[in-house]
Amino acid sequence: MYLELHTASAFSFLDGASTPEALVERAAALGYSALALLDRDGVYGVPRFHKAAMTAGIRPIIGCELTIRTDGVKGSQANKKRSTPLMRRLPVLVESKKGYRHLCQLVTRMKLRSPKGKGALTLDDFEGSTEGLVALAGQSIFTGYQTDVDEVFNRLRGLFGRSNVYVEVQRHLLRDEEFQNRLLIDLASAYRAPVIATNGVRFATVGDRLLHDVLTCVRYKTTLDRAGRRLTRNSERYLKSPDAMERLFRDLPGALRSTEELAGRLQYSMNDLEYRFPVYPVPNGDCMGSFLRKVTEIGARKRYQPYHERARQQIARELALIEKLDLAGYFLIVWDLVNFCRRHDILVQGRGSAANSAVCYSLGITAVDPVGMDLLFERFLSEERGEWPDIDLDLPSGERREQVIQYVYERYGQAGAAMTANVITYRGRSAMREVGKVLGIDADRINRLSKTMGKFAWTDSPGALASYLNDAKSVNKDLRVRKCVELWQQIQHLPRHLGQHSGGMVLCRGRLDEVVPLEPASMPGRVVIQWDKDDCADMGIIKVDLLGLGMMAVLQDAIGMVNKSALKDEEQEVIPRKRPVLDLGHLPQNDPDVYQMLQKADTIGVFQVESRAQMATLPRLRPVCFYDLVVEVALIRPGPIVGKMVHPYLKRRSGQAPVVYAHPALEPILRRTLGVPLFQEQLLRIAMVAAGFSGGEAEELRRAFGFKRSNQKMEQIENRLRVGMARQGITDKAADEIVRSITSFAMYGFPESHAASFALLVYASAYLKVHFSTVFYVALLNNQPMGFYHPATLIRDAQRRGIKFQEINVQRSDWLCTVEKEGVIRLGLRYVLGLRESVGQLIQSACHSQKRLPVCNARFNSIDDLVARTKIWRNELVALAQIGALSEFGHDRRAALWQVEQAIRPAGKLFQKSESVNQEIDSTSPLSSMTPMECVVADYIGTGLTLGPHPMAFRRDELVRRGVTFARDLPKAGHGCCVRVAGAVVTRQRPSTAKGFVFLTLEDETGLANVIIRPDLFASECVVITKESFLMVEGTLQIQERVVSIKAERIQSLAGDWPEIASHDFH
Amino acid sequence: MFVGVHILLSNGKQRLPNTKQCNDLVELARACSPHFTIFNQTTVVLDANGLRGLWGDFRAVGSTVRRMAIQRGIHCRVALATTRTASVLLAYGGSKALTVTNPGHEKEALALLPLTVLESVFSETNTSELTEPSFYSSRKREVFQHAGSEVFRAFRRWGLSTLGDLTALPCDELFARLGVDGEAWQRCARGEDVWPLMSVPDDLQFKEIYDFEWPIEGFEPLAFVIGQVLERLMEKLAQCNVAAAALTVQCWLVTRVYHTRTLQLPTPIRDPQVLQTLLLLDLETHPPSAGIDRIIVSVTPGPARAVQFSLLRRAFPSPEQLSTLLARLTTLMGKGKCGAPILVDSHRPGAFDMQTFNPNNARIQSSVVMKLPLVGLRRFRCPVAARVMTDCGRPVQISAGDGIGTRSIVGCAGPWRSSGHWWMSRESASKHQSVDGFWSYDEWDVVLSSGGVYRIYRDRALKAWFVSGMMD
Repeated sequence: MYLELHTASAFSFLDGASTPEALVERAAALGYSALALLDRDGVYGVPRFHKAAMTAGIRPIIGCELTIRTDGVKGSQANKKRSTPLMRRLPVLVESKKGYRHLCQLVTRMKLRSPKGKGALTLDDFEGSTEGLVALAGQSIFTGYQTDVDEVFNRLRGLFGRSNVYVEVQRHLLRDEEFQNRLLIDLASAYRAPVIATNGVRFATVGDRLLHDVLTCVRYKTTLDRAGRRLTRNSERYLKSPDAMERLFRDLPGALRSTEELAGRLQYSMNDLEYRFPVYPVPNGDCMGSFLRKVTEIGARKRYQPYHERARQQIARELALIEKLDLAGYFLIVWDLVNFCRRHDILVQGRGSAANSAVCYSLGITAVDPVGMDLLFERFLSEERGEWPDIDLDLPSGERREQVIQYVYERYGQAGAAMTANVITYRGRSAMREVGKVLGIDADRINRLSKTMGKFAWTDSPGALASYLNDAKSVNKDLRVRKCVELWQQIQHLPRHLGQHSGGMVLCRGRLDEVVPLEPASMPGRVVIQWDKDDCADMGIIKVDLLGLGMMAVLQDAIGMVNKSALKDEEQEVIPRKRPVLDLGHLPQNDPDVYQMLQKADTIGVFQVESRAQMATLPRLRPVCFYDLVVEVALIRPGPIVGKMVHPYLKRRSGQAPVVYAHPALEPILRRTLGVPLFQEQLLRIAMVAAGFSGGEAEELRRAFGFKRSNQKMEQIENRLRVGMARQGITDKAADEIVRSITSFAMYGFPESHAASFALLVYASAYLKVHFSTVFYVALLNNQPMGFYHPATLIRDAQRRGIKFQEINVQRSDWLCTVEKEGVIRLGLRYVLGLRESVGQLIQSACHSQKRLPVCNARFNSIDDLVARTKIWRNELVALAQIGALSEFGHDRRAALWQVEQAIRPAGKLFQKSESVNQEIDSTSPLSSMTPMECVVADYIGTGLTLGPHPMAFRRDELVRRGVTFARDLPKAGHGCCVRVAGAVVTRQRPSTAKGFVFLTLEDETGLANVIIRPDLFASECVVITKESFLMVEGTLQIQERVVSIKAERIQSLAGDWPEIASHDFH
Repeated sequence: MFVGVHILLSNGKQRLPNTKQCNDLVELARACSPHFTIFNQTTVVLDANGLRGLWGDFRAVGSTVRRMAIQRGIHCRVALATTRTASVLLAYGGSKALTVTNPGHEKEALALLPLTVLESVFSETNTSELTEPSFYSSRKREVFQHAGSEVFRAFRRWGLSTLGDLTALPCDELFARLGVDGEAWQRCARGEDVWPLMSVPDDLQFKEIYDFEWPIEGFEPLAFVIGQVLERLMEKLAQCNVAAAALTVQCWLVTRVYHTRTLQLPTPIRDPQVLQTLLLLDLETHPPSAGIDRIIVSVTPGPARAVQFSLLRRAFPSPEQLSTLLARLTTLMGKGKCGAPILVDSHRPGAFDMQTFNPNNARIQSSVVMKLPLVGLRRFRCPVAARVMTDCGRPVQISAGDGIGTRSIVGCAGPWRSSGHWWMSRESASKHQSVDGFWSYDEWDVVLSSGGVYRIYRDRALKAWFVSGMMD
């Protein structure tokens, strides 16, 4: 029987139009017992292919189409064109473990030595790397000149062995192909080599040819009208049935027989993948298990004071399971990473499900006590699940995270560690634009279509799609547009290219390039594997996520500054303290000031709870303990919002609604959250209790929630849920409520442990804001961009809290913001727009010149001195002068601007060697000084913020006359009264979950005002709302449970010469 | 004295004048003085020195210019000053409809004008029409404008708001900071001229209009008139040493519509007979729908052609003869059916396109000759419909016209399948389009019992058989 041994999937990136799953599904329908996947220059799709094939009962055969480069043959016809190398494709199939290792190494060799997409192997590269591989020499070896064929074929037989080279013939009903087939058969006959028939499959069904043509155009960056002969000549490269292939190769029965014979030889399976996690070196006399016990014991005694029985039992239970699953090495390696961070003063905290483990808590990997919080360990690790646990580490973003990544490379070698890939797929509007462009549809129409398409999810029912298409007029009339819509649906989630995962690292004992091919990442010094994190999980490869978190960097910087200043004070003390003043792990619990601040929603700059929605919820939730913060973090997520869980929870919490359960069986699960499901763990438990799901099924449910390709699975799971619930007697409204709460989590839902980890950061950042506000704001400003607000808003917030700021000054400012004496914050040079960091660092490190010292402790004697020593550019110097950073040279801003034009001008050869640096410059200027408003405008132009008065303050008299209310006075006005507010737009939000409502935050000199805009008002005033920096809003004041907002009725721009103020927009 | 005239745009949203307004302004300037320059799209400067004798004192000159403008429907501001720059700036930024500045008082008159006036006057400069300032005579206009924007940014940073603020700056210190650019702008702000007046020459038009006494419908009288008109035009062209690069004829029909035809000539031609033939052939192919009242023939001039014959190159027919021949053939065959065939980048069997015949491109490379296949396919245009009997999908008998008759097929190879253009509907294809709509063919090469070898195909969409050609 014929077996298809040459199939390429969409993981050949723009040279295949079907996913591995689609190919397997089709093969199963056609009755194939085995199928080979040979993607181009990689094994990108192998994990998904393997998984799908195993599920479908088909034996997966692994292979690859390798690009090879051959040079011209010496002594052949003298032809100048022969000097250019010829690119050919050599399909190879894996026969054994060794063959797979060789294949991975060959691909790695090709990829790592060339720029992305340009790699090719030479035949010399195959020397000693062909054992366990079978080569198919087909039409691609005819590329170029026929006279080469003998030589190339001979060489292949020499490299792979006589029995491991097959002559491959394909029939796609093409005249010239048949001519080449004749030559190939003659070649096989001359060398007595076996002939094998394949179809060189590129897509699963005939209909997929259209998508293949589109992808071809994307690859060649052209349109269908211009692609010409680069498109396929016909649709014959689909997966044909064995019968059809047998009819096609009726005259070559031997070639058909060869498929079965060869498939019989190719017994390698991805189950045989020889991946081993690295061994952690333990002291003599210890094994990894016993060593883990020891270090856990030591850690637990430190963490649990007292080390109570519940904790002991939990840790013992966890250790037993870890040993049983042989995972001790994994925990030790993560512990090693955490220790590295501690040794190098890098803040680290585990997040995600690892926070459910008491062992992780004891080892210092996580900071949440799972025993105290009664977290579900099985969510992290269970025997039934049979997969590696997932530990994610949050690190300060930037250089410190890079330091940890480089440590991993250093510790496990460049060949033993790599980043995981991120498969970028076609999605939404960008897919529509790409398909539309290929079809030659004009840009305006593509935009209109993509906007229409953006309204609905592609998984909507066909009826919904049709109704949307009817809305988009003329869609059905134009064939191209109709095709565009069809292809857009077809292309969804098809792989487009490979990216790098933000922080996932895989480690391996020995060489990782024997397990999976490695590729260079776009970032220098980084390599990525060809599989993404889900593929790694499926293949049993352990991944450690090293994720960068801006707030971690803020906390680390702030704590460092607090301890450093305390150390200076300590030097004067007789007995120094043993512990630092501030330790993230030992912050005072339940600080009332912290909760008071949170209840007032005074949370600008605080991790996770600074957004408009969170700030609107805090006064209603009124957190009083740590668990309330956990709830707060999990509550304002798309999952609970879409699942309509927010208001029921808040009402129940405030006593306005009774605590009820959809079913009595759910009470133990939902008691802590007042009968409202908020966490993933609760939903898993609900599925297990209400629908009778097993642990494995619940786990499948969980993965579907977080899995990109889960949309189709979700429907299946919903059906299973309903059936399961019906069996338990849960039907109608209760069943609908449970299903809605579960399916809404497909969008986004937090596990409780993850929320708890984040809540710790919420508490820590709030604590710093309350008790060490100066350093907290400095750290925030030094780690921008991050968070929800622009630095200007952070500074205004700090000023409202009484913190003093000093403007940027080249004589005193460092690159970063610093705290000066008496707790004044000096803005850093990093805020000068357009100033290079290298120049900023030179300014910071400049010592004062010995020749003259006009200013005490000054770095530079004059502007000329600054120019001469830092090689500053003209625009940089102008920016400094404009914001008043040169004021210590005795010039006001205008005078400085007058002087810099002369200072920066080339002196010319005649004066180059003169000591102009020390020349007295006439500091007088014919220009008038800037007005206060001009200073503010210059500040915004030069730094994007100002320390001076708020621009609104200059117009206050006029605004008061117009009846505009101060933002701080809004709570004093009554609920329902009409108000008029005005201010700079700080944020614009149009969340997908808000049904078209838009949320604005306006800022005046007294504070922030929250504005809610109806969809119809937004539609009519769209340009004003999205483009204008200063707005005046009239509307009805709403005060609900201390949450103040204005429901806009009329919006207009505030005319005047306002500075350009940047806002953070999320729409 | 000079008169600056600046159009005031009535529509607030209109930032620049439209073409008509520009033309009207130039016509006004031309009507007032032969000595004028177009400063930018909205402003012209006239030399008023010769106008005093005609219209009185300078104020009277200004009033007259303004009155003439109003008569032509131009809403404008007029300013007179001893320098061109001052007159332009005052016309552009002044507040009065007519400003007359006493000699020597330009600086004071300009002092209160906003600095933006100076910038705007130059930023609206049309590079094709603005004469180059002398102080930048060695630079390109772009450089001037770039430097201008840089300098004005510095002015803005310095808080300068009026021309007076700029002129108040010490000249040497300004030079030390902004160099020659700064100094030049300061001179402009003082109203000093920094470039000479370069008058706009009269434009040359190659256009002839002929009004018939009664509407004509036949080509014979039209040919007679067109011949005369073209002869006059060609004489004009010859005087200017140019030739016709394109020829446009507008026929004003009795139905009160224009029938316009434009011929893009392969090479500039000055032979009236050739042009007459080409024009008439084109009008024959695209005849006017009604009688003609008037014809307007206009010529786009191009440099006259100089021909250098060579002993070493084959003499080709002259472009005049060739274009006449091609025009005749196109009239005979129809558009798209005359020219040189070229291959198209398509898998579609027999796909080709037609391009304009050019003897220089028609030379066959010797290497191409060497690669010609041994067996040639003579394609039938159009394919011959056939009836084919098949056995297990393979053709066994064919019946077709064109001398093929009914024959049994003794040998065949195929099918060779091709399909494409699925994104085009079949109906969208027209007969003369090089790119046809969707196709899906199964081709067979067959040997008939008569000994002839043919290529036949089955149109899979139409489910019909055709003979596409025969093998030589």
